Amino acid sequence: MAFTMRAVKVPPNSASLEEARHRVFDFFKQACRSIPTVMEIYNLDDVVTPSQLRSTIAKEIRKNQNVTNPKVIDMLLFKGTEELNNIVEHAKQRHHVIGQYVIGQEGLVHELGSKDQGSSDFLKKFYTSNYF
Amino acid sequence: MAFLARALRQSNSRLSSRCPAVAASCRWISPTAAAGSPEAGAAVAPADPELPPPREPVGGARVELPPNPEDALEVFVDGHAVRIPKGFTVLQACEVAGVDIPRFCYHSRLSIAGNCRMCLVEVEKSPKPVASCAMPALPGMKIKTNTPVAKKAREGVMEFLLMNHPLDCPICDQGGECDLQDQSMAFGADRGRFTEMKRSVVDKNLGPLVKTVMTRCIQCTRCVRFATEVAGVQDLGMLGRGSGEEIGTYVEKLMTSELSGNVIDICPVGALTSKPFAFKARNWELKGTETIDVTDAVGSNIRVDSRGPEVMRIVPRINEDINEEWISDKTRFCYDGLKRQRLNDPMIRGPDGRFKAVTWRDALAVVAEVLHQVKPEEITGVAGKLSDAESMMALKDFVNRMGSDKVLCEGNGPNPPADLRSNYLMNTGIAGLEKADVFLLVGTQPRVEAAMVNARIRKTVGATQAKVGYIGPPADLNYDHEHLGTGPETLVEIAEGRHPFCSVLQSAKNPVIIAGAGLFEREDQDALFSTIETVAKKFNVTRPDWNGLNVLLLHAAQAAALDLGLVANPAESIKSAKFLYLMGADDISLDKLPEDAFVVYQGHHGDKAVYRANVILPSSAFSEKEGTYENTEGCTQWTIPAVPTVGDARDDWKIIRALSEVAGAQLPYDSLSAVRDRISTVAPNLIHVDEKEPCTISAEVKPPVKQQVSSTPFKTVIENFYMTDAITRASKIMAQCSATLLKK
Amino acid sequence: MLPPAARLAARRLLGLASSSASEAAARRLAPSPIAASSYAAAARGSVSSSRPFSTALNYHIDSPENKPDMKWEFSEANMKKVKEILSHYPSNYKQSGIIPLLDLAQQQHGGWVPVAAMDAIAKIVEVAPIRVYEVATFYTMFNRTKVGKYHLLVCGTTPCMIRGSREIEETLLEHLGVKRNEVTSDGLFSVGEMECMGCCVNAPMIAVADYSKGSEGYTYNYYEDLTPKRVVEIVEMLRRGEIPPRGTQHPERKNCGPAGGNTTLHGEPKPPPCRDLDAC
Repeated sequence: MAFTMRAVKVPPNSASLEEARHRVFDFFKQACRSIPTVMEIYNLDDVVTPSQLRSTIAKEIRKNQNVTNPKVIDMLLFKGTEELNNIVEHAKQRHHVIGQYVIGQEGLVHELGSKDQGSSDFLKKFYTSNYF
Repeated sequence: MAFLARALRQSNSRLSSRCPAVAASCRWISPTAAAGSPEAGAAVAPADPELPPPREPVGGARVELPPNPEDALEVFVDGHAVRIPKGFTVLQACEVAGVDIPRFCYHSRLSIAGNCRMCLVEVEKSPKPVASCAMPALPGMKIKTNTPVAKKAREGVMEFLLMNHPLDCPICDQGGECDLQDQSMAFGADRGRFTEMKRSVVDKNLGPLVKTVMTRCIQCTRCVRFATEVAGVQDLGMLGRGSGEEIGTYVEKLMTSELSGNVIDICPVGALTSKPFAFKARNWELKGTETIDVTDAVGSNIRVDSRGPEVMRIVPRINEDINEEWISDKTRFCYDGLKRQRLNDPMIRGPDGRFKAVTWRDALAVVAEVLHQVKPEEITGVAGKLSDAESMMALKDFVNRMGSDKVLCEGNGPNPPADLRSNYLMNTGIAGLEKADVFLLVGTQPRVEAAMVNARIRKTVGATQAKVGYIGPPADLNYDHEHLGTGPETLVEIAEGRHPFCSVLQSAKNPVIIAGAGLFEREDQDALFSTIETVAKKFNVTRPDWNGLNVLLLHAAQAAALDLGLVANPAESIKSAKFLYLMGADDISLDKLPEDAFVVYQGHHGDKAVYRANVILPSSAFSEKEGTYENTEGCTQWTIPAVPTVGDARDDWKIIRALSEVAGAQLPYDSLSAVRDRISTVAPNLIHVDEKEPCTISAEVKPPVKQQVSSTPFKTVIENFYMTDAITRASKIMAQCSATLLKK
Repeated sequence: MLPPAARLAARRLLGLASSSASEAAARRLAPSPIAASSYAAAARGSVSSSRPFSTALNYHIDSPENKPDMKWEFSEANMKKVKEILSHYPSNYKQSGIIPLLDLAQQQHGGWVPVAAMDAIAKIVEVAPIRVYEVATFYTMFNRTKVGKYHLLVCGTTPCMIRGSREIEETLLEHLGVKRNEVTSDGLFSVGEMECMGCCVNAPMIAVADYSKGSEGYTYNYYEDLTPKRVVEIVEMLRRGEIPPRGTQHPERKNCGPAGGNTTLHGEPKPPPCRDLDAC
């Protein structure tokens, strides 16, 4: 129910960068407002605090901060909204949420280590796979 | 109607003006008498728009006309004139003219049989169609290959062949690459008239390699001729007569020849097929990758057929200089060793003696740590038999950077003769052996060491009655040879001129001496080679235009190792090693290794050396990496990856490069081309692929040797032909072969 | 060679009791004519499965008396003959002498050539053994499996057939109690089929290859104008060791002349016309 209301609300295109920017902020607020629901659905109270989740969301949004094309921003927003809807309506599972938003952002790797700081590109690629 | 004609005319003119090539190949019906007559074709061929332009020879082959103009003659094939050397058959003349005539029993490398009759063509003024594979082309012959007579002959022959041929296509392995299928589609009739019972034939047991379904045999006798002429074993024959003819060995005998797998390629139908490959795949599912074989030092050109990540079979490629069209059984059937006993994860041996799988980070960290704890002169690197040049270069660079010079390749003996290239290569070249008229084999059994070189020697002996003298333990060579002796004394006798074989050598125009790489392992190696050089000088074996002094190497990595300078003494290096890096080296003796030495094994199979290793680093096998290999005659060749690496394995040189970085002595290259640039500074001949660089400095610059030859007789270097390296030892087919086919 | 399934199917089709279908042994592949005899001529014409092919196998099966590692050599007297035979051929083409040597070996060994004999010939002639095997399997008169001391060969071609050679063969097989190409238990007789031996005027006939006296006493005699009764008598005479009179067994015929004497060719033949050679 909440999903359908949200889906209808999004207008097709932003007219300008300003409008896109506002829509991004609206999206951020929307996401932060749904954090308590998410924490309850997936039992994340022992794993992470809401402020951590907020910073994660902010980090994700900041990743695309250099985008200037409003249509691209709209597309990213659409994807973000879709992802948010999936999480809120329990279409994901706990390990998805933890893996994607709680633990480090390199995928499902256990070590987020800074072991790779000094190594060259070659070594990094070598550790991943044989073909590069 | 009129506008249609006008439209056609306009379109025609537009067509011809836009694409003149198209217009030239369109046939315009016109009543000119010149159209189609052979004289017009011969005289006007290039310019005449009626006939298509002359075709290239079949397969893009080059025709070498002999220098003397009298030895070339001109014949007309389908109206086109072609110039051919004298002695060509009609079939070869048609090949030069670009016409591929169907055939079953004719093979360009075997003698002519003429029993299938599929190659019948019409020749003017001949009352019957002519078997083109056997008929010599005479000057001015007018050969017609696509007339109704020729076509009817082909349809008739095909009908006869199919009469007794079983309906096995769905279950026959040759389906998809079957000559009978292809030629029946192209040249056969669309229906048969045979309503009787077909005959069937009992299957023969030829061993674990060749599967026989003799009912499918069309009695072309290619296998009989191959076994007699190329393989040298006269085991197969055509028994019986008429429709009851059977190919067989009469008594139950297995095909023990090391070239027996080639009958699988030769047989045009599915009578002789590959037993290990039976029912595994169809040929259209397979992706062929052209690469090089590394099981021996010959470097036969092969095509690895793979389906997904699995190698399904290995078939030969044509390379006139090295292996012609044949490969040995070891090359052909070792591929199932690539699927067994593979190392796929880096492993470290824990304190309880058992291996634990770890990540690359951990493994390399452990190795680097140990490296920093040992003194530089205690570090030894050993390259294996199957190592490619890039990884050997990386190993040498790395060990040198760590402060040690103890890098060696197994099989090169205590004092590798790496100074002059002519001391460790086959200087005559494998193809050059065909020009020899006397062979002296010293301490080498080419039949088990390099089967293709043996085939080439046999070809020369058969063609020119060359004489072969052999010094070594009694061996079964499949050509006539004189067993001169078993040890160095015979060699000394020849050098001093006392042996009766000297007269044969004296009268030879192109003598060849082949020494085996097994001689490298002897202590009197220097004296032996100096004696061999004395013999060479005495009998004019090395001249400016002919270098007949050859060394036959045993492993694929030896030549490149000697070019790159991996020349440490194995005994000393192992004795003093506290850190031993084995790169695929399984056959090096580790008896003298100190108890507390740290051994790193980098390889692709869990073979012998793994049992002593402390860390295992998995690397890729020859079918999975792009590597440079130099064969025994000095020809550099590349392997191309056919399948992906297994598990977490990496390429050899990449592992060493990564290890060097983790250990702090980073090597300056990051990519394959950078490694090859580095190789070009050391051994530039390893960059010139598919080329043989001749040795420029002869052996005369070597200083004289004071050592005496010992009297120990030469021993057989390879005990078991089928199991010589990690891949073949892991292969089940090779195990079956060595259990059943080895000559006891 | 027929696939066993095809033979079985054909037999079932004809409703014959297939006694020979139970012989799984590979030795006999040709269908035994006894089983088909009484339904013989019409049925045989329609079913191609009873067409007999060459009766011997083209591959070797080890048996106690026929093994490759058996020792076999030509006898002293025969070695002299071997040398004499080989002297007919150029020394670099010794393999031309394979056929006469195989014949000599067959006579020495009592009518058949064991594998060891073929290997010995290969060594004499200096070729690989398979080349000798190829020659021996090509010619049907080289018996590569055991035959009796008296190998009885019945001509089965058309002229003899229409004069009753099939009955002769059945009589022989029934009397001796064997099947075609099988040896009797006392090792004396075996029966085989042969192509036309040229006695069509005296059909039906058999040839007796007599291996009982070694290569010196080897005889190959024809017995023609047979009747089933007479052929049994001949066999019994051979069993007793007597030599039946060879040639036509008809009491009134002389060679191939008719009974009651020749009606033509009474006198000397006229010489062919020739011009007078002394005239010019």
